[in-house]
Amino acid sequence: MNTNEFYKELMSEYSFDYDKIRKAAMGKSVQAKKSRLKTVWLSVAGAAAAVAITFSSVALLNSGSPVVVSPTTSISAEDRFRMAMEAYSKAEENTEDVFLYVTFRNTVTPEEMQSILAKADSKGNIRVTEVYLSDNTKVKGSEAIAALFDENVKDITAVKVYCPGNFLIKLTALDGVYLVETEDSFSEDDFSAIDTSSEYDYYPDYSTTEPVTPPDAVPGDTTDVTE
Amino acid sequence: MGAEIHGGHENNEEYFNRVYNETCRSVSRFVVSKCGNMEDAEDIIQNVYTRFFKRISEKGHEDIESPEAFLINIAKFECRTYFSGRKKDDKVSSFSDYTEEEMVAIEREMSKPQQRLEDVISNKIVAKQIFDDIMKTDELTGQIFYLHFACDMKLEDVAKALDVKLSTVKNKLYRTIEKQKKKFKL
Repeated sequence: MNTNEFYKELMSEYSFDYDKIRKAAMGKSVQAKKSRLKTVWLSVAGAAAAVAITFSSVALLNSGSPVVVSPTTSISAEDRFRMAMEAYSKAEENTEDVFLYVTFRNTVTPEEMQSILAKADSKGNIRVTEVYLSDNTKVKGSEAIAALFDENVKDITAVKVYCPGNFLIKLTALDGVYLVETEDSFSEDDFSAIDTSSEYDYYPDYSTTEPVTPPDAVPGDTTDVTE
Repeated sequence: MGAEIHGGHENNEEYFNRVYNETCRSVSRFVVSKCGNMEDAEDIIQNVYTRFFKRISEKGHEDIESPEAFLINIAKFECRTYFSGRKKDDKVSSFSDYTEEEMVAIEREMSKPQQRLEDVISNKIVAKQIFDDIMKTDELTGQIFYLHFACDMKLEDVAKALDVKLSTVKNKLYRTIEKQKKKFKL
């Protein structure tokens, strides 16, 4: 691949999500995807709470109200990116369910959060167990999370989800998602959303990372439409 | 009372899907040539097709002779609406121009195969960061990259479409690529 081919592929892949535009224009996707995740919210109400107990015994006690989160100070942003990259390179084969932290590029409403996550899965495999808000609080438990929809405030910075490990790749590729991190990257309750406003000036050295297998070649779309 | 619906709903959907497939790239090209912010451009494109779908759902499509021309007209309207609500705060970063020799050298370099680029493009985190980096540079740079690489337009045609000099297009393009080579170790 040369530089011209690289940028052709880059621009074709990331410029516009034509399928999303089509569905949105037809008034389909938003409702359909919302309802899918809404079902997840309700059907996993017990499961989400039960899952939460496994990593924090305080979860049930606090399931109805926000709790204050300590900002992560022990891990630098650069280290967080590095760990996220490592996790990404190992995620493809992992089908076991894991906890992932998803930080959004901008704060989102609960409905926007649903809409974004729904793009990664259409079968209800993503369970949201915690929601992180811009005032450094987090909301745990299905009831408290569902209550956020009543006001639908654009206040969500990140979420903790329970899903198959290889979803890390899907979630990372979503528009609106800034960074996806694994639970292993943090000590208990040490997560807070990474600052998305700062300029991303540093970059890890990939020369030492595991080689990534390129996806199978897809026949190019050489449609030439004249204006 | 709602407007009369011409034809079955499914027929309209089929018509919409066909027209969408045939026109989405030309409509995108038009919109991006007018609006350099890709997120705004995507919103505009979506608005265009939303209006189009609503129109054919309510009034049918039998009277539309050229869907593409019809859509471009909607896009013109949407772009005007977009610019009327937008402050004129375009910043064009200044830079020293490359010499003709430097440009030739860069063009030659761009044609050489590099194994590393395949690794980078397959890593979606990195690829998305590189894409975002282009779009954050400035709107004109984003437009140039999209029209040249995604729409396969020659640089001369990109310059005409954007109403700028060819040298400006080349300098923006090559400077960004050179910057990214260093920043992302490409």
